[in-house]
Amino acid sequence: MVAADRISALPDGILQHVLGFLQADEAVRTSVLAPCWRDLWRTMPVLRITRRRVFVQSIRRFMDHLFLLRDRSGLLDALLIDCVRHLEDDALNINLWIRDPGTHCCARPRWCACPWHADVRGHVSLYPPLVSNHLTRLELHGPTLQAQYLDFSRCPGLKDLKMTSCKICTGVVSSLSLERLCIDQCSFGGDDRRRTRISAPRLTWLKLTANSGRTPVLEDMPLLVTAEVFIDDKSEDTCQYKDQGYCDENSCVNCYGSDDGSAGCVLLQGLAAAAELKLRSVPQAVLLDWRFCPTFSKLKTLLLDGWCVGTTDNALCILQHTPVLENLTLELLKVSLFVAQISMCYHTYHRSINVQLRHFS
Amino acid sequence: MEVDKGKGEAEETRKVAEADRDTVTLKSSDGKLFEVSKEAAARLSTVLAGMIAGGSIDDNGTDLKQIGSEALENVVDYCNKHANSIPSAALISSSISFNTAPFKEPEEWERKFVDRLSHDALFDLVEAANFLGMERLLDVTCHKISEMMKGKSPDQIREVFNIKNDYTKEELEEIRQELAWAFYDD
Repeated sequence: MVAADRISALPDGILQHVLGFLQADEAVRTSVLAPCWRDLWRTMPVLRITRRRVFVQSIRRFMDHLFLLRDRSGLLDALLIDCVRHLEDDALNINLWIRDPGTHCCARPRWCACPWHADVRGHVSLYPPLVSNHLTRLELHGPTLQAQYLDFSRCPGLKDLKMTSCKICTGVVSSLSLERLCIDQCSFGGDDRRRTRISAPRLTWLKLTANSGRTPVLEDMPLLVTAEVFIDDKSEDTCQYKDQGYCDENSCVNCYGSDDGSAGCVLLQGLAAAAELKLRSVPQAVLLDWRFCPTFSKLKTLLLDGWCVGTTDNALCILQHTPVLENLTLELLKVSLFVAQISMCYHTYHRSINVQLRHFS
Repeated sequence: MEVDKGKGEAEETRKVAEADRDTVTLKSSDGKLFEVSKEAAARLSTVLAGMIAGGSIDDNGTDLKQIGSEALENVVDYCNKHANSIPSAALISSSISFNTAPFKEPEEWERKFVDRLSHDALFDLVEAANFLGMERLLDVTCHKISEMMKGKSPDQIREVFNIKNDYTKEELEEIRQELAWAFYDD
């Protein structure tokens, strides 16, 4: 048994920090502890509804009360929801919790949470676009994203977007403010086989790894600094004949048929401004033909695995397109003919590039 | 991880100030001196960062009158451990920002770090972290406190923290009714 009540003596700001780690309903119930706890929950900055995967429907009453009764003079730092299911209007509810109050006509309920950071998990299906002037960071884990959900033109402050294990069925991911984007282990693909377009001209950091379906087309990203791309065997951008994208077998649905360089432009074009680039792929990936891509005029550090290097021609091509490259790391499964070919290429160019080889056996 | 006694332990004898020191010396309310990596202190504490940048660091030991020696030793240990737990600066810059949410849960070593503290030491550390503007350490300590509340009834929570229930029966009943919506199935 402790003698003094240390916890109630803490400043309100710290107690609210503590409440932010509790489930929202538990946090509200601390009101009954003692009078000095009574109203703390009203200004707690983080709402966490992640205890178990709840039904959106089952927490609606709680959320409505919470948003109505909390002190709305302060914005939420974060709203974390882990929900499992979904009725028809659940997507609307979740959006409502994230969106700003008062940005639209009065018919809209005004008890929204408007967090800076929203984290939505679970198998919900989200489709209407979000509207929030405050949202700076959005994390989505698991939902299916449809229609215009990933058009963030009405979230002018959004800077970070992280999607993991999402099903991305939207034709476009677009934002004029987005600076950091991570799409990891998601699946791309709507009903048509069109590629999703990523339009984020202010992007400085990109991670596009281990996704399935068709790799998205990257539009120009002139401010890009760092990018990491990993195309694994779940990607539909693979050729069963291990071609670079031009095999003319009718049975190969992913190749382009004609050797016009269009395969290379899907990814490499958009990455051309990067200073630091990591590219890894499975051997049969078709998108990494450097011949027709623009010059990577700022690229200083490049990591490639053996499959991204491909043939000697492609290795030469990489060199021709990276005039200021300083550090090159090659990850190879085993010492192969590639190594000899590549080092020959580099010697031919007489450039002082720091080449590092990592072997995997 | 074992408790790292090396740098966190009280430095009873003051080291001669070198021209270009990479540590700063901090002095607890009871006059004990501790050395901490300047880089880690500046990175983890907004207050120390401000003092270092503003040149108000005293080589003979910067006075932190609000912090007792036990809490300051924990602060210094935390800083040094934190410095060691990060593989390289390159890794941080390449993984920017997606793990820096204000409510990020503690890592394994951070959990162990606070788990070994006594009740009072934990609260002393929260207060020290708050005083020094150490956001990450606040996260870790506040998370620990929340763990001590999780899944407990109000009576159990009052017992753990020795909170005196000043409500009258009528007041309590009133609150329960007012907040009936938060007492949903459990």
